[in-house]
Amino acid sequence: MYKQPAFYFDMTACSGCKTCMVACMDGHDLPVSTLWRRVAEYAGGSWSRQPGNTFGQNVFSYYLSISCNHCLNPVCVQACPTTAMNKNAQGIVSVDHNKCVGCRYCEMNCPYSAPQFNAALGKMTKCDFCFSRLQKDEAPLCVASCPMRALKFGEYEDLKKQYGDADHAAPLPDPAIAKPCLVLTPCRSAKPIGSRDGMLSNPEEM
Amino acid sequence: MLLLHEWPLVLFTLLVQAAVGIVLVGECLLRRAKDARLVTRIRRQSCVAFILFAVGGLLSLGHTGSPLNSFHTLSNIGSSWLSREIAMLGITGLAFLWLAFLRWKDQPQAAEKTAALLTVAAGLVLVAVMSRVYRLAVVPAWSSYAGLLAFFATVLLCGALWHGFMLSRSHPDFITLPGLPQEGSAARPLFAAAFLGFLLAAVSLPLSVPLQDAGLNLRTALIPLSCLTWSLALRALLTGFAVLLFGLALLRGECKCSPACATTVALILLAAGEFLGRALFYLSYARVGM
Repeated sequence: MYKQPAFYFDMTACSGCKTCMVACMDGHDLPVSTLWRRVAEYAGGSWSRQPGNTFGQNVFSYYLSISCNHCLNPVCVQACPTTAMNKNAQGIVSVDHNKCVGCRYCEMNCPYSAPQFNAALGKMTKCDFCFSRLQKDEAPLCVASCPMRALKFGEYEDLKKQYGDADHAAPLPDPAIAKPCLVLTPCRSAKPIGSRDGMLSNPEEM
Repeated sequence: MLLLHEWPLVLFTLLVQAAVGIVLVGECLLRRAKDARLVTRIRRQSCVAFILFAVGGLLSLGHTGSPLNSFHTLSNIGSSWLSREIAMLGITGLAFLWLAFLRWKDQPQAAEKTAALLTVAAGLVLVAVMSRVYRLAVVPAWSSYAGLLAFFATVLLCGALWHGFMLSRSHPDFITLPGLPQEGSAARPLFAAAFLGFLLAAVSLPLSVPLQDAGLNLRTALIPLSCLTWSLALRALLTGFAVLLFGLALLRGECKCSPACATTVALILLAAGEFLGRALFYLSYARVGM
C-alpha cells in the first residue's frame, strides 16, 4: 500500500472530456448533484484592435480535473466535530458514516469542495481514492478512465520527483492552506493562483 | 437552497445569543431593582431565557443530516471549534437550567448569585466560541472579527430591548428617566447596553462584506455582492431605528406614544433587523478556491 497516495494531473494533455468525472459518478453510483471529481473550465482574455486595423487576442482556456487531494494538512479533518472525517494510515482522507452527523462543516472549510453532502444519506461523502480498487492493485476509476492519460496516481513523493513540484494554477486555492497532495504539469496559458484573468465557464458542472 | 439549509443556524445563533443577553442585562437590572414585584419580574426572565436557549439548541439539530449521531460531536474538542462550541453549549445549557430552576421560586435563593455568575460567564464564552466557529481562512467575509462583534451586538441589543419591552408594561417608572429616584432608574444601563450593541453592530457591518480577494470563487457566493451591500444597509437602518425608538421610549415625554408601545415597535424592528442580519451573515459565505 501507499504511504501517501496522490493524483498527478497533466494540464497540457487534458481535453476537458470529463470522462473522469462521469466514471467516478458511475462507479460509485453517486447522485447527480454529488461530484467527487469535477473538471473546471477556466477561460479568459479578450480581443483588441491593434495598429494597422488588425486584431490581436490573448484568449485562453484550460481544464483542471480536481477531486479530494488527501491533503497533508486536511482542514476538513481538523474541523470535523465527530472525527468521522479521518486520514488513515495510508494517507487517505475518508468519512466514517457511523460517526458523521451531516453538519457540513467540513464542506465549509475545504477550499477544494471535496466533501459533498448526500441528502439521501444525510451524511458527507467524498473521494476515498477508490480504496477498494487500490487494495486490488487497480487504478482509481478516474485515472483508469482518462482517455488522454492526463490523470495518474502514485506515491506523492515519487510523483513530485518524476514530474516536478510546479506551482498550482488558478482557480485552485493557495496550497499553503491545506498542503494538497496534488502534482500538476501546468499548461502554457496557466494563470497563477489568485489570478483574476479568467473565470469558471462551467459553474453549473461544479 | 443553502440559505434554507442554514435557517436552523440563523435561529439557533439568534435565540442562544438573545438568551445570554437577557440574563446578562437582567443581572445588571437586579442590582438596581428594590421593589419586590419588580425583582420577581426580572428574576422570571431567566426562565424565559432558558426556554429560548433550549429551543435554539433543539433547532440546531435541524442543521444536521443525521442528528442521531450527535453524541459523536464531542469527539474532536482538541482541534474542532465546532466540537468546542457544542461542549460549551452543553455547559451553558446546564447553567441556564440551574439558574431557571432557582429563579422559578418566588423567594431569592442562596445559590442564585453563583448560578447567575456562572451562567453569564459561560454564556459569554459560548458566544465567543460560536463566532470562532465561523472565522475560517477560506471564507474572506468571515475571516475578520465581524462575526464576533455582530454576535456580541445581538447579545446586548436583545437583552436590553427585551427587558425594556417587558418592564415598560409592568414598571414603566423603573425604566424611564424623569421623576425617579436616580439610584433606582434602569434607563441608563438599558440605553448603554443598547447603544453599545448598536456600535458593535455598526462596526461589524463594513467588515461583513466579502473582501474582493483575488482568489475568491464567486461561484460559491450565495447572493451578488451588490445585493448583499444593500441588504446590510437595510439591516443597519432597522437596528438603528429600533435603538432610536428605544432611546426615546426611555426618555419619557420625548416619544409621543407610550413607552410600552414604543418598546414593542422597537423590539419588532430589532427582531427584523437581527433576522435579516444573521441571514445575511450566512449569505455572505463565499469561499476561496474551487
